[in-house]
Amino acid sequence: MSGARVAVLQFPGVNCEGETVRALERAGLDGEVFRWTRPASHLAAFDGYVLPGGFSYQDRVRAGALAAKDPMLAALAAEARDGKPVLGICNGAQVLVEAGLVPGSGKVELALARNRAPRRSGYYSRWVLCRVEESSCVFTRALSAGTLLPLPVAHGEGRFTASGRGAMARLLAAGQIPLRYATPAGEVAAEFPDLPNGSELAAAAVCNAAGNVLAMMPHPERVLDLGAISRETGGEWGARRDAALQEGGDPMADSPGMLLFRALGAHLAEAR
Amino acid sequence: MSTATASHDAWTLEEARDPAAVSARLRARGVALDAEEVALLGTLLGRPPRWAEAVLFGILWSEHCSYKSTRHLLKRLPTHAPQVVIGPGEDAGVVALPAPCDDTVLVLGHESHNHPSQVLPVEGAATGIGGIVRDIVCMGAEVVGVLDSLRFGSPALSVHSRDVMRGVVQGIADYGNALGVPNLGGDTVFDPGFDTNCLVNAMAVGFAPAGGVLRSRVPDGTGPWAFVLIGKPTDESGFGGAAFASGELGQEDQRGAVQLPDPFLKRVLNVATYEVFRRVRAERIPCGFKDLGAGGIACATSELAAAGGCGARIRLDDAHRVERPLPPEVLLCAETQERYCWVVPAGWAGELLKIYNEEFALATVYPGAGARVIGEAIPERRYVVTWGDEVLVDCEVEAITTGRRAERPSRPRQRKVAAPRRRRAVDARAALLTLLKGDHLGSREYLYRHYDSEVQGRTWMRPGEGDAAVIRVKPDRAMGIAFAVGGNPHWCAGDPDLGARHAVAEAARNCAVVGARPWALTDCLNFGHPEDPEVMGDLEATIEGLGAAACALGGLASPGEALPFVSGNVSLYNQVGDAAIPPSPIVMCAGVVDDVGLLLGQGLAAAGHVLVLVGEPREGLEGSAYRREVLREGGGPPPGLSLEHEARLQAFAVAVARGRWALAAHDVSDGGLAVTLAEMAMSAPRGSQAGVEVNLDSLGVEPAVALFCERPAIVYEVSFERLPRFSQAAREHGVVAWPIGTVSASPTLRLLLPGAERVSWTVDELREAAAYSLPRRWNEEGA
Repeated sequence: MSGARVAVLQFPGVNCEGETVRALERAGLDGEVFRWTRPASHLAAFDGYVLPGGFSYQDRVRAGALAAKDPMLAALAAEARDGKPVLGICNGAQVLVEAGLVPGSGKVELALARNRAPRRSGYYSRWVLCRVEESSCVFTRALSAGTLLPLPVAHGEGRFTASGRGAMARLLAAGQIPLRYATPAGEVAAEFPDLPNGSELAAAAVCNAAGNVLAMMPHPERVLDLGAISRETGGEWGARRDAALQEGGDPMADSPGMLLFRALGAHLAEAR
Repeated sequence: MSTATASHDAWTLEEARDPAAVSARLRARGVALDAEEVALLGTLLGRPPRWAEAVLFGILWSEHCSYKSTRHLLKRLPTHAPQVVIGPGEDAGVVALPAPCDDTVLVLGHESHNHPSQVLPVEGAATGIGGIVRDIVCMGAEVVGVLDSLRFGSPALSVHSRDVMRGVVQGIADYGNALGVPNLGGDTVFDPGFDTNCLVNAMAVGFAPAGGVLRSRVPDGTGPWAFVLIGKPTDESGFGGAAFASGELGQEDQRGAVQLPDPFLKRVLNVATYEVFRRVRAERIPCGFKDLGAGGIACATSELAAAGGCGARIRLDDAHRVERPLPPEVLLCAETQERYCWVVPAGWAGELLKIYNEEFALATVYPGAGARVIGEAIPERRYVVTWGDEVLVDCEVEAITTGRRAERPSRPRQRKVAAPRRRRAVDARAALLTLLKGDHLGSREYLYRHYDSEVQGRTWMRPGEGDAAVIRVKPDRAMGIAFAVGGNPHWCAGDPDLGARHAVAEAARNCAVVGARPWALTDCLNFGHPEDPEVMGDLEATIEGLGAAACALGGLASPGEALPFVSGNVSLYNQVGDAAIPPSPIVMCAGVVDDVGLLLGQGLAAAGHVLVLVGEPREGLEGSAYRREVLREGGGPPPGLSLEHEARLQAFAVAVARGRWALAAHDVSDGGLAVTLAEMAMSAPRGSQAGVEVNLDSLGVEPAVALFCERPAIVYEVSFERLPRFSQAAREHGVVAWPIGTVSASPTLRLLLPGAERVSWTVDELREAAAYSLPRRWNEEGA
């Protein structure tokens, strides 16, 4: 790989580092697992960062809480202030929120609380639809607002909630909620299962004001091939999947999740 | 029997004259050696054993470790085929894959964790997953998936059955999700026969480089070889677990024999171990590797030495352990989870310790965890364990490998003859809704949403999307592996031989329906007391049936060969009092998909296509869910099964997928054709308006049989353009293809029954019925 270097931060207990590196490589980037025993000062040599999914430090105290205090996060905050892109996926999103990098004041303003859903508690895994909102987020700005992306969620604590009144609404108005759970008709999801976790304003992802740090609960790295997206997915992406699986189609074309990694690739190519 | 310490004799020569009395006193202290074994142990050692030795042999000769009641029967199963690299006998089986993945081998394992899950459901099920994952890893493989087959008591009748169900699902989810291994499905059955003894069978699968498989033995050569213990500090947890699994669940509190899971530590341990795999392969370091399971340090180290044809000297005081003082025989045999044992050249042990202790800093991840050298191989064939100055164990390696064989008389069970079926008019509308709303056939979605099925990014077909789950072998290659399970306890109770044939056929057929060639099998035989001749009779009939079906269905992997069993497990004593569980063979089949782009899912694709029934579902209602759940007549024996026809049906299924002749496929099994069609409609993509319009008049049978007969068959959705080619292929394969209807443009299931009665359901109505049972059971309180 001759592309930009992207570190995939490996805290003890993360478990999505392999497929995250593969997604980066597919986007032409040089993805590298950065283990917890490496000096945090080495992070400065990278052009971008991904905090992958999993259960860092066993979700002790709260999901993401211990990793947020890891020296790697202080180093990461400095790089983020310099405008380098940072993507936190699932547990990585929880870490970014716990570390105050999202929405970005440095203080902890948001929480990813336990899912709320009728007649079930805890971990929940399924494909959902995410609607792209107006935002300057580097990972979604190439996609027009209203675009629907089918993506898998798999978490027990994914309900974005803010301590301050109206804080989530202000984030939405400021373009800091680039992805919201949606219905197949493209409306903002109001109830389970389109809204899988009870997240406020159906937020699936929140970014900082500059748009270079994104905390998202869905997993764009899990399925990179169009032919492998959930067979439950209907609508436009379902039709694309079905065409890809027909004779003459390309089942290995990019999945919707891959679009976010392509956006990172384009952003880093531009930055060089 | 006054001795208190591990290095003192467990009994005196005087006491040895009455082995039955010795056995009884040992049992009272938690060591399960019968009178015959007490005598045998004295003979083998030429002296009374030390206390630690008695504990060790109690474990080695337990049913769980020794297969003493079944080993001779298991030899009847076919285990050979050209694709088999390592068959049963190691921790997991290994099979080769065809090109272009012939640089990779598939590793398959299958275990039960029944008693622990009944007593402590969360921990029991979690350590079931943890144990089978270690079995895969210790072959040098990266674990890429788990499956689980669950058998619970009736949730309608028993609050405890619901607690067990909730706990087991929670345990599987907690462990697998945190470990980062996708759950690739399995099955769940409810039956009052499991009220006091649930079944939790865990299967795991992995990939290793061809030629890179590790063996559980001291390598050839003079070494010197070091034994290195890695992982969690040893404690007392799970002490006595093997004996616990080898007896009836009792009244006393047995929770201490259940192991404690830690998926977080296991994740780090596995990541570090995968790094060791890379180094030993790159540097060509000879090594042996074994997981610690039943019998802990003692079994792992002695078996590594015995398999390597040498001896070992283990210094137990060098093992890392918890700080509180524990008796050495407990440290020696406890089943503390998340541990492995390496045998490496003594000169390379430092490098190995550095990887675990510094590069991955295990002790900072989990207090006291790490890697320590605990002994060395010795050329004399002796197995010696010391604790400070004390000798705990000192015996010939041959003594350890001496197999036990327990003679178990068997006789066929007298089966109740099924009552003649009362003919009565079928209320098709109500009957299908009753089936879908029931615990037996209701949707399992509520359960599997607890599981991560996509971590690692290999998944191409998830549970619920098709008849098997599928993962891709490598990102740059089209080949995938399908996994499915089979085993209907109602059928096995009615006829163990035929039920076992169906278990193999169903698992293999599920693979074939999505487009995979059945490639290898694993099994677990879950039964009651082996001392009961009728239980042994069931077991023999089951093995007969498994073998017959496997011999008939291997041709798609290797023409003329059997479908090989490559790994398995036997779980006996699944019985409380007189109530043995129904005979429960559970079979997993792995199948090879040449191109994941050609997989067939079960959801309807688009209106206008033809629905074709392939097979001959015109027999009666034997063994059907309709008889059990709607007519309440009891199940009786399963439907007939022609293995020769089954082989042709599966060959046809694989050809259909490969030729792109169909757009969807789903097998007819539990609930018959009506349930199959309903599931195909319910599985259509969200927002789809597709439905089913079917005419069953042409089948020429009475309505109940047309709707609910469970004789094996497959329903296909085929386009008009491909229908001639599809039908021609059916003729070429000697299977009957009946066009029975079309995919309609309205989301309803509409059937014209024999006799011209019309009946219909909306798909939403079907979904609501199928989603009725499990969320309700899960959230139900009280009795």
